[in-house]
Amino acid sequence: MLNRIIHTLEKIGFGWLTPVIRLCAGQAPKEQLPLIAKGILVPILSVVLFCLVWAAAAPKVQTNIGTVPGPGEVFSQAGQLWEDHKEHRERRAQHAERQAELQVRFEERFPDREWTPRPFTGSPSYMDQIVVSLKTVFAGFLIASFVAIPIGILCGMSSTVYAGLNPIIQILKPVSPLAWLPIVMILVAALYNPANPMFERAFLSSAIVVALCSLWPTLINTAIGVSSVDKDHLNVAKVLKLGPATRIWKIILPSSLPYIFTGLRLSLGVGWMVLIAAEMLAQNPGLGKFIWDMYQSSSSSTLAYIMVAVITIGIIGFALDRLMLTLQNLVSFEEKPG
Amino acid sequence: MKAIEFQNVSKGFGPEGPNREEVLKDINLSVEEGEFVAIIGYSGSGKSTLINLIAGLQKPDVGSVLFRGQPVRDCDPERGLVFQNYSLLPWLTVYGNVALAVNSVCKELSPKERDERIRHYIEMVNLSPAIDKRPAELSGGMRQRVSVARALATDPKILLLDEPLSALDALTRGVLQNEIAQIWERERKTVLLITNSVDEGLLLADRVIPLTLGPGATLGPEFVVDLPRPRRRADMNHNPEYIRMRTEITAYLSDLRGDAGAQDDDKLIPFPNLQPLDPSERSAHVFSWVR
Repeated sequence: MLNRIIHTLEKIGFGWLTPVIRLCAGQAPKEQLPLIAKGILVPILSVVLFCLVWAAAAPKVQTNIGTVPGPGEVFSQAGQLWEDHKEHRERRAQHAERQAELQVRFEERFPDREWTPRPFTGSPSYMDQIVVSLKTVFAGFLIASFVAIPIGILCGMSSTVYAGLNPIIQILKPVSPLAWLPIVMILVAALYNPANPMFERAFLSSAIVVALCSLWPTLINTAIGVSSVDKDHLNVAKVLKLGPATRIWKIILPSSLPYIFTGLRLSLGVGWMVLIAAEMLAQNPGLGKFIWDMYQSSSSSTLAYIMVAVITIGIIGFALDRLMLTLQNLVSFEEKPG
Repeated sequence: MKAIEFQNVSKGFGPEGPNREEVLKDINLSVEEGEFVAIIGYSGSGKSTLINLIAGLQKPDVGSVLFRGQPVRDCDPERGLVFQNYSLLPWLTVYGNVALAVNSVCKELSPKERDERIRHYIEMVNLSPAIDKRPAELSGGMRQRVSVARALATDPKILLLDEPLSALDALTRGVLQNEIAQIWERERKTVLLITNSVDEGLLLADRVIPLTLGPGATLGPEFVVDLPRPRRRADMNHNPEYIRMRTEITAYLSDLRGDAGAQDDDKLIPFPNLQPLDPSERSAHVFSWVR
């Protein structure tokens, strides 16, 4: 039981909690204390130290919009954003209530006409912007995965395909998202003109740029994983005369899954970094736009707001990485006993 | 019609020139239907190449390899191959590994019949209690049993055993030799066994044929084993005929090598220095740098 909990924790990247659990279970307490000190206390101390240095240094730097905020100010601005979010929720609920009332009255007076509700016009709250950013990054990540994994499998299975695609991959891989964005925005504006757009153009442009920049690690890792499938396993496929579909599904894909997931994890990391820049320029209402708007407004709290955004971006990026690490651990098979 | 025939087969690797390595040269062999033939030789003498040729994994440079009178062009499940290093798929269970073979070969069977068949062969190699385990949870002997079950489950016409037991410890080896002998008694399939143990050849085979040392290895004179079956290891140790043949084959093999001291049996049985491949280390590498 205990070992299973610990095993699970380690799989999802919470290995640092292991000594605490062992201590609670009374397993060799003397050995656990140094481990706790190293795994939990030292990281906390270093964060505290970082905040102290920040707090001491920040007021000494003067900018044209006031001094640089310390950790305290940033923290209180974060609280402010949370309050704003709650207020925003309330206003939204009030708006919905009011619309419902209006609808009832409207239908009493004009039973033969159709009611069109008035949309809520308030600007999105910080939480809404986080949600938009997450949606955009996952949309881009999905596009990237759907493109990169099949191409990667092809590249891994055929050295001819790989030789053909390699120059294109190598040249497009190092291109910055800021270089892609204008092209993508122009193309989206030209090609995406439905009467009732399902997606905002800004959202689509940002997601496509995220996809363009983040598909490379998945593509390359998939190709490596597929090309390094154990030769014995391929011989099994040959001897059993497996068809191409069975060969890919039963042998090649499972064998290269650990590689593919490593690639996906790297891709999501790249995608999250690229997203902020893309949102800034494409004006997709996510965290990137939040930072840009704050920068444009240049009030005394601008820097503090932007720092809140920076920390948020960091924490979400870290969480996404952990999520992918967990998935990666779940799919990697163990070949050694124990 | 012969089950297996090699006609003047040569096989080498590398481009023409001084660096080319001739592995097999002028191999002539014919195996009757239902016969159990053991090829014995030192490690590195080209035994696996020989079996890959009949399996269809490699093609001969010169000569022809015939299976029931037809030249071997490609792999086919009717020639069941048991790999030296098991080659089980680590992400599938015992059941899954055998099922992969049955589902891809016995397409004409209903799902229920396939399931029965898979379970039957797992039972035959005494692995029913471990049916839902993955290869990582099995010992070497158990893994090789799965591999045997996988090869038998597709009901091949002939069974090719490529040093199936050489990676196992001596005790497990003995147990599995008995199992292979029993399965052969029951199924009476044509078997070509590659081995590096004189005892293994004598216990299991109707004929033992040595492969000379490479490069350019060829088959030596055959030794017909007329011992009555079932051959029990304990009885064999006192059987004068067995002892005579063992001495003879051992002497032949050590002459090939030009070894002195051909009297000491224990030293002469070449034990291979083989380890099963462990691709799991590869994933450990990949993750160590991203983590």
